[in-house]
Amino acid sequence: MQKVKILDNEVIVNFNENFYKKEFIEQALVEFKEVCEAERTKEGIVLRPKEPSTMSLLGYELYNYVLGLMKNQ
Amino acid sequence: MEEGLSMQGNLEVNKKEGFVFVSINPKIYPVDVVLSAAYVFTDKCYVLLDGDPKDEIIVELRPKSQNEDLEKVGREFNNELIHYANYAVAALKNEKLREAIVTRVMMTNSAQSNEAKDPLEALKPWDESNAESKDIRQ
Repeated sequence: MQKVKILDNEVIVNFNENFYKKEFIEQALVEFKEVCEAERTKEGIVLRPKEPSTMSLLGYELYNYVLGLMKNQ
Repeated sequence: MEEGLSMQGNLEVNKKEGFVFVSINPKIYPVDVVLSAAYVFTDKCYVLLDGDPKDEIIVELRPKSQNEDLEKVGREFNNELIHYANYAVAALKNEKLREAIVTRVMMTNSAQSNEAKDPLEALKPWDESNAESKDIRQ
């Protein structure tokens, strides 16, 4: 499954939960509320950025952010 | 092999898409070591973890700047894995020694605090408190 899929106006992100704990993903999504809306679907987490220019990097930034939360815990 | 792809040891370099996969044996590098190394790389790369922590861990490294040598990034990651694996081994070896030191420090602190009958005694500068108990100025 593709980890970060960039579409026209949304980004679909899939985390391997063997490595990324749900609680840290949820915490990251709360903290990303300023930059995007997030919705859990069967395809993955759908991110709709408020600023279209951030589309290409948003999913990857989320990945790094979740990793940072896990490491700092 | 597809154009733009190359394999070097445990590295799969995809120049076209701008990332390198690092394949890791979790029997050699446990997940927490991989996470530590991965975190270090978040400064200059986007880091994505995948695979199976019991079988094969795959780390995808996407440099933030476009001119990075992908193979070099992968090799640096391998070095970082060794660094953290060594740290973990040393930490395990020194665990009992660390515990003994901490216990000793706690006991010493506890003994010193019992000696001060006046709570403000400890706040006096060393010179003044020593001068009052013994006249060392002579």
